[in-house]
Amino acid sequence: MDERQYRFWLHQLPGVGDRTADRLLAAFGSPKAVCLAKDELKKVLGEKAVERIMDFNKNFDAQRAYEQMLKRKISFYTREDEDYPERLRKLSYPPYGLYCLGKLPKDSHPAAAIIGARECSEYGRYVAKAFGGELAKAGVAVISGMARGIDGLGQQAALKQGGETYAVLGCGADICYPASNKALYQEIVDGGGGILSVFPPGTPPAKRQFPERNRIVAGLSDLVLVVEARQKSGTLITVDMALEQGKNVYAVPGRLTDRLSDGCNLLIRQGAGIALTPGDLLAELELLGNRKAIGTAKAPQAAGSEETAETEADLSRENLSQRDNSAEKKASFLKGGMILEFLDSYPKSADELLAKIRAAGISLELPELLSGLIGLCMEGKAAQAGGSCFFRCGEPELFAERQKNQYNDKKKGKGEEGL
Amino acid sequence: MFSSIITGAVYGMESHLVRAEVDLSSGLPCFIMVGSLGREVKESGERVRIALKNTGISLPPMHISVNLSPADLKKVGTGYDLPIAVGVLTAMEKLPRGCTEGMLILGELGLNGEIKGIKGVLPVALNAVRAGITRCLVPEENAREAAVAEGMEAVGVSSLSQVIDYLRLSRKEQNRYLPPGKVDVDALLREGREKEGERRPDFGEITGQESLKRAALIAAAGFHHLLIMGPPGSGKTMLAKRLPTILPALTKEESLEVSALYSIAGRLGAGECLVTSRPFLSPHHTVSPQAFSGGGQIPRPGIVSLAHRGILFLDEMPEFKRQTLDLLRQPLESKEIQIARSNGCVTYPADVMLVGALNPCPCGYYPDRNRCRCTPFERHNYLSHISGPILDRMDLCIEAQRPDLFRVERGQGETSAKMRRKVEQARRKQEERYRGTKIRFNSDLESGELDEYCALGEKEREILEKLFQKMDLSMRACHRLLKVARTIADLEGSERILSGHLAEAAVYRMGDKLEQ
Repeated sequence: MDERQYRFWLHQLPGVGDRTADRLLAAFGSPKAVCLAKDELKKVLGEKAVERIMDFNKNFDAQRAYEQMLKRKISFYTREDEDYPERLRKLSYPPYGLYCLGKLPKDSHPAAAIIGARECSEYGRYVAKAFGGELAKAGVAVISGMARGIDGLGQQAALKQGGETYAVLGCGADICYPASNKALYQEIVDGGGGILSVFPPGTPPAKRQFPERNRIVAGLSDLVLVVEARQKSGTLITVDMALEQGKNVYAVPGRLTDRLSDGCNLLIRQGAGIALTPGDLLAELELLGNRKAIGTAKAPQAAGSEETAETEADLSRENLSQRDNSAEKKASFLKGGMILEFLDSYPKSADELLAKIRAAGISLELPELLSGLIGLCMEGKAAQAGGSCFFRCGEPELFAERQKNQYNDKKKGKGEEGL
Repeated sequence: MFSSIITGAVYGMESHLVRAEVDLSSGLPCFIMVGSLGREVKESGERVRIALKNTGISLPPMHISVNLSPADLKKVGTGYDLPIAVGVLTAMEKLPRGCTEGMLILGELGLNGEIKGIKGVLPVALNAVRAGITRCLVPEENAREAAVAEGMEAVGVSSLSQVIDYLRLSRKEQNRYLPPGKVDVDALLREGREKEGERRPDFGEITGQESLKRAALIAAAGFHHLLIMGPPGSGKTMLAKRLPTILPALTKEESLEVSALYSIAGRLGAGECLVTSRPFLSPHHTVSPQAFSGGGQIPRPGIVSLAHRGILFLDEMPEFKRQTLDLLRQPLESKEIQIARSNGCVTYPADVMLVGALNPCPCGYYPDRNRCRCTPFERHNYLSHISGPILDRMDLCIEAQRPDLFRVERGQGETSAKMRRKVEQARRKQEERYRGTKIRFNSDLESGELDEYCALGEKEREILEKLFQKMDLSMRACHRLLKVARTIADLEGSERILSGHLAEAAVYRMGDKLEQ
């Protein structure tokens, strides 16, 4: 057995966690010495613990297990290794071992964690994808837990943009949990990054393992972006760990009435960064010298969504008021794809849209609206949520849109002066 | 000393003419009945004997044999009392020979000689007319029902003594004594249609739920199955309750069919002779499979059949037992339900418009993330109470939204009367197109007939292909989309299916996503 296999052996021992391993290494110097030690072990560990280790040894062939693991393309790194991620080394308690299927995140490259609720809203999905994609484009590695919802979506978007993403699991790296993310798992393994875990291969997912997973997610990244979280949620545990590690936390603001945005809004109140564009994060990562000149004044349709919707309606009324013929107005409305203007990243029902369009002075019929909406869905600019709700999608457009909105902001500003 | 009286038997939906043959011969005095009789028919002898006695006629001390022929047909029901009594009287020569020639007789006897109403008069009368019988004696309360059969002179009688008096008269005097009742079916249908207009509740009471009403309109126009999904209080039940007010009126054939079915089930109300409006059945979700599909030793029509040509509304669909819901699979496809029991196999019609309402998740509020915290697993579990094949057969799926109190437009929405006019117009289009075929509504189209009736232009074909790929539709879903598009085109008065119609139809294919 070589040195690496001894380390592997040490990490497999039952009842020996990172702290116990530290004590053993402090007492004996190296994993090999620990392995060869017999009665001396009892001085460091209790009688029972040693007995357990002896029992375990009887049935465990470390050499074979290690080779089997390598065959499955899973590599094992410990703190003694040079490749061990520098970011983890800086933690107050770096994990002793790290299993990796695929690549390890490069120390030289910036990394950001995108985390959030598993049961997310359409808005959350949209934002997670948009941020994941844009960060990946800028060469930032996206770190997350590959969970259902925000985590997985952010990672998926990163892969789609040809970026790298690293998933930290709360089970063995050879197990895809949740199983619904099988495609994502496979894509990451096939070259999009790496699957990391501090738990030996074959470890089934268990509740108590997830805080440790969250610690590693925070530990591997330079900053943490929270897209959607409830007031009491696992996501906020990750945030706490990130803050303990001295990482910066950014949150995507949401509407006050959305319970799923409570966590984020609360973080912002506590002083977290406000993530309006990926540029905010990139600036933080010091990839860009200064903040990109992107519109920032307006929060993304936050609390006063009613208000913004109204101004939108006002605008289109202005745009269209010159044309007198209502049929012509309607035709140009449909042709110009202006239905999109009334859509939002929050799903809206067809009835609501119809009421707004009519309020803007366009006498549109429901069938026309529905077929127009399906047309947008076909073009990929909108999507249908549930039965009769529609929302805007098409990933990277969110931020392009923001620039266009500067124009709207100016207009709105004018109105406020009048008051 | 032999007589033979024509009467009728109903088995399942089929009715048969039966002859009650009575013979008096010398021998040990007794009253023997043969001919594959049910329990209630065997008891008939006792009722006949006492009813005759209480009318003042005592049976002679002779060997009386009664045979109900054809002898292999199972006889059930109480309608044989009167024909047997008349047969006995004729054989006793108390009635002139030949007075019952070409006359159908049905009725149950009370011990005092009164004649009581029975079930299934209409189908027997209809069958008798087909066999060339034009006169019938039926209990008074069934007289109008029998008169619905065109060409049948139905005489209602209320007591055995009245029957004896009647039969002793000459034909001319008979008509003066008890004139045959007449029923104008067309007038009844017209009347029913007018009454329908006043039917409460009205769609006008629903405001601001335009997409829901639009889906209801399309469903009613093409007789499409409709699935309404939405949180509690979003108007699912309200919508379904109003659906009957916009359905196209029953045609005469349909009305007779439904009335016959209701007559067999004993569901025609007193004095009611014809069902003039489409049935609307809304069984509670605790309904047993037998009551749902029909059953019993001698199979009787169940809920599915009673909703024939009308609406079967299943509120809170996932709460139904999966076994119960799955019973619908065959009837939804073949539009009839076959019930096989030890006593025989019966086929009842079951051409229903299925309207289902359900919550999107156990708590009911998904996708409102502020209220719903159900996991995908829980949601899947809840929805999986409805099996895929049932979901697959729903032509339209629509999501109901909880209306925003402050955003609801006040005042009148589109009324039932207005919507109904549109439905009737689309119905006429369909009638024209399908004249000479078995198809009544667009929803009846088979996949092989789509090419003929739902032909698409070059541009539309392209759009359908795009929809097919983009929405990841199955072939069957694609066919349903086409049928719905056909109905939308009919509603708009368009001969051809245009791209807008296809696009709108695609909105209602959300159900395909439910299965995943």
